[in-house]
Amino acid sequence: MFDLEKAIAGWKRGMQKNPSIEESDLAELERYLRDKIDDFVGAGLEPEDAFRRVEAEFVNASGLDAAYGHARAARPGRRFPWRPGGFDFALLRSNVRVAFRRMVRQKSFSLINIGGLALGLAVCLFVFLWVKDEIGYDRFHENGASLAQVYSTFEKEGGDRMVFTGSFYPLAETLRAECPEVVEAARISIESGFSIRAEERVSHTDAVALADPSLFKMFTFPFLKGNPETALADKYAVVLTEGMARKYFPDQDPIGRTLRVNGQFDVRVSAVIRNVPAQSSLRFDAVVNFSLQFAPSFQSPTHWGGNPLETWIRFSPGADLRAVTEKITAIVRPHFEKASGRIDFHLLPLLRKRLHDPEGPGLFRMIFLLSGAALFVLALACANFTNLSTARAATRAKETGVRKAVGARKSDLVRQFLGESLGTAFLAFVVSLFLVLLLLPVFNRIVGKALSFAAVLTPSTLLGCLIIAGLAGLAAGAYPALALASFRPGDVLSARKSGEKIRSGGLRKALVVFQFALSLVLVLITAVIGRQLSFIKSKDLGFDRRDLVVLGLGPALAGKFEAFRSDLLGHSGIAGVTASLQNPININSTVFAGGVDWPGKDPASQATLNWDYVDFDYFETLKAEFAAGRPFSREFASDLQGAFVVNETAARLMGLPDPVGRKMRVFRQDGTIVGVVKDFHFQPLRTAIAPIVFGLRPSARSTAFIRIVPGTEASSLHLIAETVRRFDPDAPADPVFFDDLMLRDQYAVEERLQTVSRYLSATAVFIATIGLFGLASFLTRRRTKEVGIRKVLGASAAGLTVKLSLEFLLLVAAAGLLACPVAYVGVRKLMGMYAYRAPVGIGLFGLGILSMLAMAALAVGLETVRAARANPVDSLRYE
Amino acid sequence: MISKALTGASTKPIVLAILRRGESYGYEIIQQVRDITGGRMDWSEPMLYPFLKRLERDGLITSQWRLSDKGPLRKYYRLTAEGQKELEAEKCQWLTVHSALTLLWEPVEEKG
Repeated sequence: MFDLEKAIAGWKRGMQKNPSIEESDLAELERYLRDKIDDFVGAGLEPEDAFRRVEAEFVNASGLDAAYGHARAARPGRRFPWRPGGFDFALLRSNVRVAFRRMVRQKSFSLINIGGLALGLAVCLFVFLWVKDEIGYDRFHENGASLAQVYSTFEKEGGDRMVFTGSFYPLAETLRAECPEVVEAARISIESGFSIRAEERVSHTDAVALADPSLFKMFTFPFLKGNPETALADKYAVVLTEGMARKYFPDQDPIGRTLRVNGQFDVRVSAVIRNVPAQSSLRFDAVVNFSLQFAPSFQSPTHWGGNPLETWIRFSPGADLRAVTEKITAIVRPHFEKASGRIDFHLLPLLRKRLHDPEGPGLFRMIFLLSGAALFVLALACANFTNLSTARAATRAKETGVRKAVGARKSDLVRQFLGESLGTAFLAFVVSLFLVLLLLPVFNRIVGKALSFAAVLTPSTLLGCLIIAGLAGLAAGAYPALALASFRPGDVLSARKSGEKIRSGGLRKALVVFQFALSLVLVLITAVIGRQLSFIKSKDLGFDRRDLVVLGLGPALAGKFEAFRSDLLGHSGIAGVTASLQNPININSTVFAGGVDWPGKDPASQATLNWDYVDFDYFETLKAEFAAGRPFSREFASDLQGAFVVNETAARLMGLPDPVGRKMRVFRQDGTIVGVVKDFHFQPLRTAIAPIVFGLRPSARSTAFIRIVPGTEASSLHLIAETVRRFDPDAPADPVFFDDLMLRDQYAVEERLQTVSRYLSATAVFIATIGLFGLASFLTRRRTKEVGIRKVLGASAAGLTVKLSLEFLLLVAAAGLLACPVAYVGVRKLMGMYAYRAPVGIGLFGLGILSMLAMAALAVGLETVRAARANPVDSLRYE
Repeated sequence: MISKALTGASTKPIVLAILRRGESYGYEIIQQVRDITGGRMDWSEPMLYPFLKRLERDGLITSQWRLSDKGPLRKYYRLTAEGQKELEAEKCQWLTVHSALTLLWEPVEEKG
């Protein structure tokens, strides 16, 4: 039995398969169907016949779906929206497959493309890790935001400005009593080199903080055992870190046990705190009461003198730092009325200490430099990526044309190409993560840190990296995507205008120039840093620093120094032994004009001198030469009553044409100037040689200087260590060469900067070079036919190589010309840090350009030589 | 029978002209065409519907689904001002063709 409704339902199902006929269209057509069937039935037909006849009309109307498609298209005759809107997974899969196949087919090209970007990203990630670590310093203190170190600057009327982070004994107490905004204050002085003994265990490597008990109220160092309130109440109490407690008292409860310090006194363990985190500016293994450094009967000095201690305060929340600073200056300045100059006090917030320490190694500058360099390298990698992608774009013109012809819109193509470059960038990002994971130990060794890969895996870091990668992908893909998408299919598909005609030569050339200019700037700056460093290493400091050994003296050894000296001098490998209070690597103690006097001194003189107390044989051991007079000598008994040696700069400053024999007073000691030593460097080369006065005071020994006979380095070092141990078993027997110590103490930043910038510029050059190689090989391959024809017509291989290479080499040369002024400015800025600079001539720049050209020639030459030497039969037949 | 090409060319003025008389729906338009031409137009009736859609897209007509006293829910079409203009232009063209053909079909005089 025929059921009309069922038949109509079946017809509808059939019609629904037409993609261009929408629901509302079908409803209208169904109305037509029903109306017509009604008419036929009204005319006497059976419903089944009526249905079959109307249904047949639809069967005959085979173009119906297409007609609907045309009717709906935005512009008639352009394309059929057979697949109206929405996300098309199949198309995506096809695009991914196409991209992947292309990647596999052009292996070296993809390697260069992805590898270059991955390298750039990895460099950025490394620097980011490092910067993140540096910025994260001291964040673990609960009150971190309201802690600050008080430091001072002294400005002589002449204009010289000196910074002192070391402050004064009574400062902390004065501020706590007189400045309402200061809630807490503590003096801290971190010393190392103590000999610490517990029964059989002895060590010299622990850093001991001498601090006021309020330290634990201000800073957050969690207690594991003991009471923070009373931990340092006793003068002979010591608070150990977990690690130090375990080192001295393994498997025992350390509380109540004693440690012997320097063989002089005992301290009792009152508490144990957690190990100080790696990201702490204050680093120590143990804390003792600040007053422990004074004799038992002496509480604490009350004089306002420059001293090696730090004063930290906790200010009340919401306090205006500027106002507090002014108040502190107002409170303290009266104590310095005699100082002929202007003293100002400043606050260095704890959270800024790591990067902005006014006496620090300039970490902020280094972070700034390296971040800039890392961004340079990333920019370079992006430029590389863009360049190679545009070069390749030309070969994809046909693909684009076909895609457009079958109906792809411009936005589809932009999406496809951008998606491809984003995908590639993402791939590069994943590769860079692996690179970072792989090379992190190496990087840690270079920067002297223990960064962990876990820091990369935090959501914020990953997101940040993804955004960087995404931006790089977008930046790199935008040009090729837009350029490709706007190709006109007619142009690229017609035989006359093939993809060859579509070029982006201008941009490509600009990018090559940009890449090489950036690389050259990095290389030149690196070279200058290296040159300055070797200049520092080889610079004649005014005394003979070779074969000079430095040895820290503990109190026990200092007490037996005369015997120690005689013992050492009895050996043939030892040429001289002396001692002094400070180390001429960096003598920065000064005596203000008020503290120094000589007959005929201008009362208005602002003379500030550096000073040091030295032993006999000091100048002889250092091999410093004298301009006039003589060094301190045992033969003159009067020397011990009061004798000074000044340097030439000091003599000039004092205005004494013939200073030898003149009287002089330094601090409260009177004496005679017995000699003028020729100027030598006793501070890093960043500063000019300052005036200095040396006083003879054999009792003030803290550092020994031992001159050894050349050629006996190993045996003499061994001998010194042995002798030290014999005289004081608890002393640290670690003699080091002056040069090594100087580089470690004063030029660590330069050393590190040099190492890191070497890696950075090597990476930059590498990326630029492989980029150029990729580009050259790609473009040369596209000219295979041209090369073949030229050869057939008689061109020589050599001539062709030159012709093909010259284009690229000219670009690199242009980059060199562009880079030089930029590098010059950078170098000048960098060298401005030093009072004594390595000579940097035009030769260095020329050498930089030449080596860059050589690299480029190598990169380009490999491919062009191959192309030029190829048999034209092959190349012509191939095409 | 009217040829396919001519049918194609004349569908637009015919449909617009029908709608000028008042709004109408697809099947009614088809019936009217059939009545006017005596069923001599060579077309597939369902093809009118995408054609209406196209006129609508071009802004010549508008449509609205509506119930009427005459029957069930139907889609009614109405001429727009744009459509009115288009119809005038079409009319002009067809009249030109018509007068040209009329003139040409005058009986031919023998040349003396």
